[in-house]
Amino acid sequence: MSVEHIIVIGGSAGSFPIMNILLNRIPKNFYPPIILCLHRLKNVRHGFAEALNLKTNIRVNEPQDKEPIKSNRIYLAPANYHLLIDYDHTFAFSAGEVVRYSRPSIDVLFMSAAAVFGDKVTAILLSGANTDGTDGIYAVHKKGGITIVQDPTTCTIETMTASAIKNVPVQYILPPEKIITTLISLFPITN
Amino acid sequence: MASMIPFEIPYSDLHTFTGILTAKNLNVQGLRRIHVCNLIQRLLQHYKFHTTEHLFQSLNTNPDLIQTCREMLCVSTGEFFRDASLWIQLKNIFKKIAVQPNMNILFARTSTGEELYSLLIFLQEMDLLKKTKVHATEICNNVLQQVKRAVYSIKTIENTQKIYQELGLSKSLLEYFDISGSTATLKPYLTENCTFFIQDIHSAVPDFQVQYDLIWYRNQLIYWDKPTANQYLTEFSSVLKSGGYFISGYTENLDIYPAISNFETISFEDKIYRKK
Repeated sequence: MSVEHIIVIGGSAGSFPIMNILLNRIPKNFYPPIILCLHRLKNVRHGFAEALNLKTNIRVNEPQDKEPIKSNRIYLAPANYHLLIDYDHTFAFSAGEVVRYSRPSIDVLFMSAAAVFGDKVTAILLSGANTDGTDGIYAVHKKGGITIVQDPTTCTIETMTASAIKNVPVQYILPPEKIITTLISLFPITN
Repeated sequence: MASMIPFEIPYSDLHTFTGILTAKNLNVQGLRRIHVCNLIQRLLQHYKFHTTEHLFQSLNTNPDLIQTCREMLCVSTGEFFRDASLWIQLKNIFKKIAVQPNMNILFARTSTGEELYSLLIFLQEMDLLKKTKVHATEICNNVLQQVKRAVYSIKTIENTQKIYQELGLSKSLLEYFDISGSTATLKPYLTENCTFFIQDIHSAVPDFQVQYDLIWYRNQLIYWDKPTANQYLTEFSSVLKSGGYFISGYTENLDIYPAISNFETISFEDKIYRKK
């Protein structure tokens, strides 16, 4: 079955504990695919997805090139590559230059998601120490997608979220526990 | 804030763009759509054009833009000893190949040269450099000339030192470079058996009538659509010795291409394949 709506989540410094909380509370039959882009050490391949898997009901995988995006999955951008969405709804990668000191870059993922899925994207930006994600969440906003930013007062480092809020009229500014309840209300579980 | 959505290029513009490039002898048919969009976006930003129409007009009249486009198609971010676990596996592979009197390696698409020179240093560490001939290719002469100069910042090399040490190699990485100020130039003896060639973008292998023991083509298949990537893989297979090794990139899954039937998987994790 084709994917109708995707959720993209970006975070950097201080976002890992929040991501763990979110994933822990995602129901196992949550339908839209979730694609994570977290800033991470470029030379450390292992441990990140495994650590996230300890807390989630849906298995977290690093996708491979040209892999079709499927529902009820959680995907994690691998270290040292930009992760993109292509027009045939498959994953694409780039080993190109860093964007805002980052590879994977949240902007790259969010902007490609907005270009391909239009208003069928929900973008969530979490704690972080640079401004990666602002252009990306703007692209999602411009295409009519749903934009959610973690409340900067709840962030370990607020640079990333404050930048997004300053530059983009985001729809939701929420503490972590409200992000998950909002997601579940936006995409109710149907049996 | 950007006024247009990057990667959102209408299909008609993509068609026009690839048509212009093909007419200018730079055939990018088969490049994945998202990467064509990215290429157009980078050109728009580089030349500060506000419309694709303006870009297309300039591509038709100014050869410099075609050259820039060719340079942008070369992946610009190689790294010394990227993916440590691959290099650990390569130790065992080279020990197997080394029983032969000579080795031929095709390093297809040098990018900025760091991985090529990592390989040459690695071969030297294994005392195999003198018996190895390397053919190194890239699609852009400017990029290849830069690679041949082999000049890098000392900081780049120092940043690699920790990974390099984990591989248990004998010398310091900096000992393979001549240092001048803040730059490091690869010592010339390392490239004595390496020959550099310009490669057409739409043929994967040079026409040398050589059968290779190992082909290195990392992080390139990700840019091409399935049929084109499969065509490249088939071409590589045709010039690889039976039992020869093919090295691809960490996110590249060769299992999705029909040409994988010519190979067996040695390490899916490190993307090492061997021709049947």
